[in-house]
Order: sequence, then C-alpha cells, then structure tokens
Amino acid sequence: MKYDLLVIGGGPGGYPAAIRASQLGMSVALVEQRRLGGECTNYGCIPTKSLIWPVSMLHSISRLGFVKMSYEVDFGGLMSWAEEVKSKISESLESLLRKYGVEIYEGRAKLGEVVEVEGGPSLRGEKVLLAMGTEPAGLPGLEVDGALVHDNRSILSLRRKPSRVLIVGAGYIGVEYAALFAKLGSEVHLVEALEKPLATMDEDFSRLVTRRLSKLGVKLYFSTSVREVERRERYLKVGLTSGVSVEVDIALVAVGRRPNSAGAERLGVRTDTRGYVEVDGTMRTSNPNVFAAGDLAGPPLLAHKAFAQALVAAENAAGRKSYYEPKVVPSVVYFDPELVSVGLTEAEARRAGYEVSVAKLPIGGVARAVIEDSVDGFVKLVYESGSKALLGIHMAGPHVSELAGEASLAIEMGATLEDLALTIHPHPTISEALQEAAELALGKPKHYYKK
Amino acid sequence: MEVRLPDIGEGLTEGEIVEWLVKEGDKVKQFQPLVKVLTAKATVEIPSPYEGTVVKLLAKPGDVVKVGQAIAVIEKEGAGLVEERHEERRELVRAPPRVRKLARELGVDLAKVKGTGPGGTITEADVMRAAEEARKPEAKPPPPAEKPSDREERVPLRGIKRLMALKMAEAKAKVPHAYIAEEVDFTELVKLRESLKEEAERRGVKLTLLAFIVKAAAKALKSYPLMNASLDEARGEIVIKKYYNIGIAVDVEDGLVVPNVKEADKKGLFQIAREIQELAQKAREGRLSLEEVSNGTFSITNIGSIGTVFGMAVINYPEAAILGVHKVQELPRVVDGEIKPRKVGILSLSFDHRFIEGAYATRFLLHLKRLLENPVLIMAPEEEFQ
Repeated sequence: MKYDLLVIGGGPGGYPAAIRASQLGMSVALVEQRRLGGECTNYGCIPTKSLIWPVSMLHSISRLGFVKMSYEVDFGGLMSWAEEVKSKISESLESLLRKYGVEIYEGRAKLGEVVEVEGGPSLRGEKVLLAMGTEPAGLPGLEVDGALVHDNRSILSLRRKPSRVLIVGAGYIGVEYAALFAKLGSEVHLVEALEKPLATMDEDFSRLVTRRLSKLGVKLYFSTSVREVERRERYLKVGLTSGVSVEVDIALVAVGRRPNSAGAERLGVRTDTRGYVEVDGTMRTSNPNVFAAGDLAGPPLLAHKAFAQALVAAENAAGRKSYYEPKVVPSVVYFDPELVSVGLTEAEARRAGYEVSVAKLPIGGVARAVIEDSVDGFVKLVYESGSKALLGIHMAGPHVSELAGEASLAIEMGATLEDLALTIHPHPTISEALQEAAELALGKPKHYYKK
Repeated sequence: MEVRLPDIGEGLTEGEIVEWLVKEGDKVKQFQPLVKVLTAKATVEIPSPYEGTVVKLLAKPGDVVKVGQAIAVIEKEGAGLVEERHEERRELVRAPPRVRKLARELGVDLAKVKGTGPGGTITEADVMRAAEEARKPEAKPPPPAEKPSDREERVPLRGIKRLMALKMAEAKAKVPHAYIAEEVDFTELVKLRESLKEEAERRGVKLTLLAFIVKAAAKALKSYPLMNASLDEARGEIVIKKYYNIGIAVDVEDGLVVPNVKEADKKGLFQIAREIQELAQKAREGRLSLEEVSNGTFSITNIGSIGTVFGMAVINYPEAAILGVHKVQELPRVVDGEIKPRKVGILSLSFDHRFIEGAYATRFLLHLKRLLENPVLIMAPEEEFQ
C-alpha cells in the first residue's frame, strides 16, 4: 500500500499532521501501536487534568471555614472518570481522522524503506512523518512492575487509593501527582536529586512549589536519591541517600523521558546524542523525504509544541513552505496554584544578551484571587529595558493556565508593557494581574502601593 | 584582527581601494596610514587601528569595499586604542507570527528589515518591501566584452571617473534640471582686476575673475536663499543653508572634483583667490581632504577658461544650482547708442526645478549680473543691498 504521507504515531505530533495533509489533498495513512491521542491523551495531559480538576475543586471548597463538608473520593470512580474522559477524546479523534479519509493501522510499525505494521500490511509513503514520541525513562533499581512501582502510564490503572506514595522526580509530573495524592489524603514522599523542584523553571516557581507542598503535608527530600529498594508483597521499603527509609504502598517514577527513535536510522535519519531526531525549521530530518514532529524531534516535550510542528511537517510534505519558528512555547504546570511560563526567564534573557528589566506583582493584588481564596502567587514580567517589549511572562495563581494564551500572543505580537497596560482587562478576573503587572512596571500600579 | 573600512563620515557607504601603503609582512604602528581609499568625495588615508604586523591584505586596488567590510588582517601587538567592539548586545526583532511566516515564504531576513510599525514592529508591508528590493537584480558582472579588437580599447571605469559617473547619473536621475543664461558685461570687472593685479601679485596671489565671481555669488545667494538650499526628499523639506561654501569644479587628470571655498561670504577677495588656487593645486595632486570636498552649498564651473561660449552644467547634487562661467571675449556691443568693444561672456545657471521657479532663478542671475557689471557693489557692505 502506498500513500502520499505515512504518519508513524497517533499522538499530538502525528494526528494533526494526518489531518492537515488530508486537507491539502494527500492520501494519508497513520500507524498507532496503542491508542490514538498518544501520551497526551492517554497518559498525560488529559487523564491527569481529569484527576486534578475534581480533587482540586473539592479541596479548595472544603478549606473554606463556612463549608460544613468533609469529602471522600471514590478512588476507583475517580480513575474511571479519567478513563472515560480519555476514551471520549481518543474516540472523537478516531472519527475525525476517518472523516478526513485517513487510513488508520493499529500495530507496532517496524521502520524501513517499507514500513511493516505488526500483524498488518506493509506500507510505503512518498513522504514519512515520524512521531513516535517519548516514553518514561526508567530508574535502575526501581523498575516499573505495574503493581508496586509505576510510571505515568501504569499509575492510571490503579483502582485502590494508595495510603502511602513515594514519588521520585519533582518535575511537573512529580509535583502534580504529589499535590493530587496529598489532597486525596495519602501520605506523600517526594524525592528529587536536584536541590529544588521544577529546577528548569524560574526560581520563584521552585520556592512557591516547595512552600505549597509543605503546606499540603508532603514530605520533601531534595538533593536526595533512592539508594535501595526492598519489594515486599504489598509494600515497598525504600532507603534514601539521606539515610531516611520510607515504607510506601506504591512508588511513581517520574524522572524524565527518552525518545522512541529506535529504527529511525533505517530511514537514513540522524539522531542526536540523546536519541532525539534532528530536524530543521521545516521539520525535515536528514532524509529530505522524512519528517519528524513532537517529542521525537526534541524538547520541549509538550503537546501544543507537537501540534505546531505536526502542521509544519504536513505542509512541507505537501510541498508548501512552512516553518516552525515560534518565539515562545508556553508551559503550564497544573499545580495548586497553576503555574505558567511563557518566553524567557530573567536569567535566560540576560544570557541571550538582552538588556532586561523585571516587574513582579503578587497575585493577591487582584480581587479575583481574594474571592477564590488563592492569593499565593505572582505575575512576573521580563522585558527589554529600552523598548519595553515583553520577553517573558511567568505566572502562578488560580486559572493562570487560561492566561498562557494571552501571554503567548502578547510576546508573539511584540507587545510592550504599554500595550498590556492600555488593554482593558475585565474586572474581577485573574487576567487583571497581567495588566496590573505592566502598570507596576511602568510605575503606575492602581491597586498596589509602590514606594 | 581584521581591519574594517571605517565609517569615515558624510554618510559614505563604500570606497575604492586606490593604493596600499603597506604590504603583507610589514610591521605597522598604530595610526600609521595603511591604505588610500577613494570615497565618493575624496581620497582618504585609512590609519591602522593597532600596532602589529600586516598578515593579509583582503582587497586590491580598484576594489570597491563597503563600510564595515574587512580590508586587511593585522596581527595585534599590544593593546590598540580602538577596543574591539563585541556586538553581543542583542535587540529584539519584533514581528508578529504572520509577518514572520511571510518573511520565511519570501526569504526575507527579518534582522535586516527596519520595522515601521508601532515601536519598530516589522509589518507585512516592510517584509514585502524588503522582498521587492531583494528581487531587484544584483549588479551582476556584465557579460564578457565582445572579442577584443584592435579597433576598440576598453578602459576600466575606476577612481574619480567612476565616481563622476555615479554622481552625474544620480544628479540627472533625481533632479529635474532647468536652465537659464544671461550675457554679462565684464568690462568693468576686468578693469578692476587689472588695477588690483599688482597688489595681488605682491601678496603672492593670482587674482582671477573667478575669485570675484565666487565673492559675488556668495553675496547674491544671501538675497536668494533657495539657491543655497537642498531638498530633503525623505522628509519633504527644503533645507535652507545659512552658510555659503562655494564649490569650484576642477578638471583633474581623469575626471572632475569639486572642492569648496568655505564661508566664502565672510572672506576677502584675496583670501578667496588664494584658496581657489590652493584647492585647485591640491585637486590636481589628489591631496584634497574629505572636509574640502564636503558640505558645499553652491557650485561654479569655470568652463570658459578653456573656451566654450555656452554650456549647460549638471548640478552638483544635492545642491540647488550650479553656475556656468563661459568664455569672456571682446565683442562689439552697443553702449549709450554707440558700438563699443566690450568684454562679454555668458553666465549659465542650471537649477533644481523641484523647488526653484524659473522667475526666481532669473532674478538671482540678474542680481548676480548686476554685481559683476558694477563690481564696486561686490565690495560694498551687505546692508546696502537690502
């Protein structure tokens, strides 16, 4: 079977490309070994947010003194809810792809000049898009068994609430699950080899996350690693390098990811030292007929980045001219409060050679944060001192994930502090914090005392 | 360390290598002249920014190099006065996503596009314009000439002649020239010159009619400010100059240069005569400084000294006008009802018709004629004319 475009992988780096290519008149086949939607839909964005949303709501409401309510979550029901959500999304993806005439093959693809689908046909593509993504990186000694030790995939099959949880890795997956389990009433131990959580993000986020997790009762072990693991029948005994030993019902390993690029070399595709496929701005690999998009094409490992790259790859495969060159890729952590990072941090901007100024507004300065009893947070603007053009926007606060788009648009459009300050933001919303922060930077905050 | 063609001012963007004053392997001192470069205006010597050894010369005589282009490599010894500038400071290129996409499609490098949007943001129109400019054919080397033949000789257009070609083409392309002419009776002026000749010689000055004409022109320009102006096309403004630097076209071995007498209105006749003499001498020897050929406000071409009775000169752009002085000869003219021998010659005036009307130019020329025919007026104090 021969197609104009053969897409390997049905996640965010693959399926949008299949749809776009079909819109451009190409015949398209897509091979997926698990379920459509990839890591995001099945194990990442979608199920985790499905878990976090109801639990966070409950937790927030129950903290109000006048609410006479204690909550109990049917853990199995909660996990089924996440399952239900991701099924809905995965199914709607399938029907969408079919409407576009994309032929879907289920099975593992063995890459080569001809792509063999396990238990299925051999496929050829005039152009090929590799979008096999990444998988959880393992931790020696703490191999995933799906019973006591989990990764972000297997943990979704839990049906009984663990009363004691060890999380290894305080990246965004680790801190999101730490807060979730803490709110569900589990005893949570969070171990991180680096000296702080979210080490790659702005320093202010690390401090806030540390403070909030402590408040939730999470036991934090930074600059610490797992030294030894004893697997008992129903629990784990884990010794840490700090000398502490903890007993937990399950462990979640969230220490990073590794690219699924095995076999790519058979297509004449070059990979870098970490195994990510090398691409240019058109998402072409070293083989001009082979494209790559999404996680496989390297960090940041984010679904929305994969979407953008998938479209670029499809357009180029169809012979159009298209480039992937965003100024910013927003990143969001669905923590409590939500964290958003768009563009350069202060340190990155200085390293890049810009002359930089920074303004930081406490989120408690906006009425909506007070209304929602969530005043721990900030909006931090990083801007070029001369032009006052925005270089980075970093936010922590309720609903700020919904402001990530505005922040990205502002930077993409080259907005300055004035643009933000002169754009009327509705009251009372959290979005006012962006306007107020710009006003603060310009020396004229209206709800904030400036010496 | 690379030596780059410095920005020698005057908005120059390129220069032609005339002659290297050092060769590869030479040791040079800081500020030692390295190379003679002919700019659009004059030949300048570029000094070495450092002390060191010349490792490589990157351009050869006849090459046209852009400002900022490397012309030589000098191995540095000791610290030069000119610190190497690290261009690390980065400026944000501000262009919305759709503009960046367009730039990609059209192959435009946004870092080189000047944004005209708010706060210097690059707009779609800016990108289109840049693409349009890039599409203009590069000055490709012309196809090789036809078979060499004994009946033709091909001489490279270089040096002053190349600049003359560029300047004249620019002036004619940009300025709609208009022309007028008037006969002037120089009899009185010639007499006056004769009477001052001895005095001038005693002072070592060769007093020419041209010196009187420069002096008279400076005076006349004060009464007709538009003649001493230029047009700022970008802003749509007429720039009226309150200084009177009168250019003198000098015929040199392989072209034409126009040095100017600075502040001619404030200088005495002998001084003007002496400066004209010096400038002409320097021009012929190729020693004119950039300053001496810059900032002219009005020019005079004394083509009559060679012989022609009438001609129409090309304006020394961006000046407003050029005065042509033609052959002064003794001819019969009617004076007070009688035919008398008179020394007459024609003055022609080419002017920028974009902002000078024919009537205005004519009045200026008649005023100048009146000064020259009544030379006492040239010497008279200013206010008597107001």
